[in-house]
Amino acid sequence: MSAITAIVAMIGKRLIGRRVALILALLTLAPAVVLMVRDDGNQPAAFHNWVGPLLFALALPLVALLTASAALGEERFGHTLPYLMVKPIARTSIAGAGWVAATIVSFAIGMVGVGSAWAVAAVRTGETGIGWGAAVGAAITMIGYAAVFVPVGLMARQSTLIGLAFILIWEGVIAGAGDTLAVASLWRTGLSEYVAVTPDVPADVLDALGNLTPGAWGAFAKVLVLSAMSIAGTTLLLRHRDLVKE
Amino acid sequence: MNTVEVTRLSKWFGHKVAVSDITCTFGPGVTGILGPNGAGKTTLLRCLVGLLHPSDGSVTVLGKDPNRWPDVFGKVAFVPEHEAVYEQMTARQFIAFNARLNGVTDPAATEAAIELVDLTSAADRALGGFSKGMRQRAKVAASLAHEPDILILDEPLNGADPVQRAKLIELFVTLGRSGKTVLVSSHVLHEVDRMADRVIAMIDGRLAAIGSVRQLRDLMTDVPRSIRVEVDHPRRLAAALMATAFVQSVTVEEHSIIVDARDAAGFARTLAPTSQLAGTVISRVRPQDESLESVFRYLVGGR
Repeated sequence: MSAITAIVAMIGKRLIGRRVALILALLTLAPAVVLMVRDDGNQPAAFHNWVGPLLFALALPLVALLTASAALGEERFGHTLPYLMVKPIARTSIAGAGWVAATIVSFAIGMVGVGSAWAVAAVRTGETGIGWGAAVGAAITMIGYAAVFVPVGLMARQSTLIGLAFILIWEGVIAGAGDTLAVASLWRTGLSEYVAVTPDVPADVLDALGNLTPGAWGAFAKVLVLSAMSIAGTTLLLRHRDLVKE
Repeated sequence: MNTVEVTRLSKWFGHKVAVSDITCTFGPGVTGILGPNGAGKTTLLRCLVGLLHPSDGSVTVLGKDPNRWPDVFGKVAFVPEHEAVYEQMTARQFIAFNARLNGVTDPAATEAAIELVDLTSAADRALGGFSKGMRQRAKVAASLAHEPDILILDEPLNGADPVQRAKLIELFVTLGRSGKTVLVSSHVLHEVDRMADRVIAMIDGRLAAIGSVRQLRDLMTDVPRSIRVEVDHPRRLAAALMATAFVQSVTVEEHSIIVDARDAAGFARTLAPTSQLAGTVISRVRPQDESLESVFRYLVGGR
């Protein structure tokens, strides 16, 4: 195991071991519960309608925020960052390890929701492949959000408030108000991937995309570029900012 | 040979100056960084390991700027003052994790470090359940597994019990004698006295004194000490003491006198016979300003 893998494993274990991870996982179960109890839960459209808006617009961003902002943020504000920083490891590697751990754990928690809804829908509709698009879309969404929230968590103690403002005001209100700004919305980028790889997606889900054109590779490329920028930004923070208190 | 060089280092946070214009060098052996709380010791050490960036001046470790060249940390170990550790890890996992980040994968290195600090019996317990002293030992062990050339230890004895304190001091002395550069900060004079060949005294972010422990002690001998003496006839004793060479001034109070002694040791030798000759009975003698901070303030004032 290399030093970077060791950091990814350490941060990942810490993130998944928190009580908040369990609470977030329970939160993502909402679509599965809804599909289980509703009469129309035996229709494929119901899966897409509930997993789309409920999971992508609300649960996944919250999971990513509370997970990714803690990846390096808890190291800094919990005073354990010196154990990573005073080591012969490039700052880029620490930044990259934080992003990888945040993405993996956010995706794992998000997949509790996608997987449970997928399982319920598969049983009720008989379509076992119904959740592939949602799973791929969730992965894209988590890559994008981790890219945003890892540096925010490292930078600010109030990262949860900042992230909530980003999710509710920017993503929820501003990006949703006009079609043109939808391209800057991360959960819509994930949803566009979902739509691109899923046949027969209901109109309500398509409406949520605004002017965003569904495309698998475009969404993937967008979050990868964002992640590269995030790792570069996090590296600069690690290199040039005082990350311990006076 | 100097392994760490600090040149005109200043560090400020907003309007607060934490370290001011410090120039010094460190080499093999144990150097104690001594000063009261808030003197700037921790800020200095954090600048040495790149956790804080100098506002002015520079730091080099093994000839390199640690902020630009993190590879130097392969030969450096840092034990932070804060007791925070990865609480979910066991001591063994924590030490192995630190060793791995330093490129050491041999489990024998971890085991040797555990034995060095006497943590063998607790090595598989989670750090979250450790006392402060045990955490300190785990942190010290984690810093030793990769056999660094330079150890930077910020108040490493905090929380350790007397026996462990003695063992850690012995360990630092041994490491210093083996040619490693060991920097240990402390606000406890006698601890530094027991382990350091050389002392850097700091106060208010400034370098107050630098030299061997003996040199620092000599400087402290010259500090005018203020001593309160409780006595049955204050005026009589005050008059008798003023006739001696060791007393600068005396303030008389109702049941005591406050003596400003030019030479504390000389005053201590003279007090009893002078009192006997004056026919007074002393009930209590206590220094007014024996704190380390007051001594350091004197040293700074004398610069």
